[in-house]
Amino acid sequence: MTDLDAATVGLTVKRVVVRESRLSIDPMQVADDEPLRGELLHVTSVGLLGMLVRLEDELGVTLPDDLFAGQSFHTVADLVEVVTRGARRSVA
Amino acid sequence: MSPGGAGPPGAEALSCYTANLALYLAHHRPDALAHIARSVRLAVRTDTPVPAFSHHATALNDVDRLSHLAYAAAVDEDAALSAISSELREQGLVLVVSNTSTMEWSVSDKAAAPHFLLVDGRRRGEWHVDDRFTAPRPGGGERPYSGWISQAALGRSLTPIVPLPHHLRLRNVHAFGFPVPVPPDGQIHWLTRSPQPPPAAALPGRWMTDIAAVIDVLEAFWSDPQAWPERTPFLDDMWAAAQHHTFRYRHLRAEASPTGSDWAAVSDAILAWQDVPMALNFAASSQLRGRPRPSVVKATFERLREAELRGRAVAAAHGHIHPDP
Repeated sequence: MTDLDAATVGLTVKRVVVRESRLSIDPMQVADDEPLRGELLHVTSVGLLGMLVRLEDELGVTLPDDLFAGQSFHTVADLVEVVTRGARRSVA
Repeated sequence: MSPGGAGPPGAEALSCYTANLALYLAHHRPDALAHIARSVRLAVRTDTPVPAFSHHATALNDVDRLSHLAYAAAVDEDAALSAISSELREQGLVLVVSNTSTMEWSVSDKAAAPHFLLVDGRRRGEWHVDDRFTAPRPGGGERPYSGWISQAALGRSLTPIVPLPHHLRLRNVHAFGFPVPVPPDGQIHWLTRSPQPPPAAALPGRWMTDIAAVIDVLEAFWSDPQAWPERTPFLDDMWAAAQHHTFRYRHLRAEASPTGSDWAAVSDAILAWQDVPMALNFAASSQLRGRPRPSVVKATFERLREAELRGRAVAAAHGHIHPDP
């Protein structure tokens, strides 16, 4: 596990949500506060599960144990936050 | 995930057995959805090699206290369709046990599973079916379907699952909350309205019905990484439990309009139940990738235990929980 910077996590999350939503846009165009289920992104609960698995594999992190214990996934930033916590845990 | 809107949930918010059972019961009692919401519980049988689940504390095969639904069966399609046609003529609607893998409107890419389907019309060569079931699926999700299908399509939908795995047989047996006789495997099944009061509702054997104890059992059941391959078939039972409890709390919130901390407790319970199938499917996927995550399962059930007990207290205060009979 390498030390991941916030920019790498953010870009990877955005790339994954763009792919999950079957869009062909530059991931950098996706705002941090973009809803995962809104006008732009279309992430279902099944899709969210697949994304979490892909993010663990792509970034080599272990997502936190409380991943589904009160964690809300409304926006891209929510995903970035949980992956960032996973990255810190993996480094520790 | 979101705790849902403020309005009462419809039948589509229930499970593959109860969504269309709700439509059937609504034909006989206008409070069918409230009746089902109040019936919701989760009990687990603990004295058998594999668990059985009971999702209702009220026998939902009780149509009107004077008649009840009972399984009927036929060995061939012609005999089955003839009997279903008679039931339809007499009752105006009939629930049939369909096969998710052969229903032409289903996008399910999963293994075949039994499903209650409502048949409520027939005309030359065609049958009218109503299926309110919805569920997230990798293929895009199951969506409600209502329309006329050919007799051949209905016949295909009724294809028995052979052999019927034991965990699926258990679901048929306990579909109404209490065990009922199920005809032999390999036959086409439907439900007939029997003009007699329902039999006494009882759970034979040793069952865990106290929800805190049930959650303890489930936490142990799902957090043992060695046991995952045998437990994967029960993921759908947990999804159904989450659907039912979410339905109960959404119904309570719409009907009783709790405020302040009560509203927060009910909304939190909804979220905690919604998290359960997510966590278990994530754990299943992690297990397959060689990265078992029992700690994710434990954290999820710990939160569920707290949230359910708080939510349940609110539900009880509003008379939304049936005591076990």
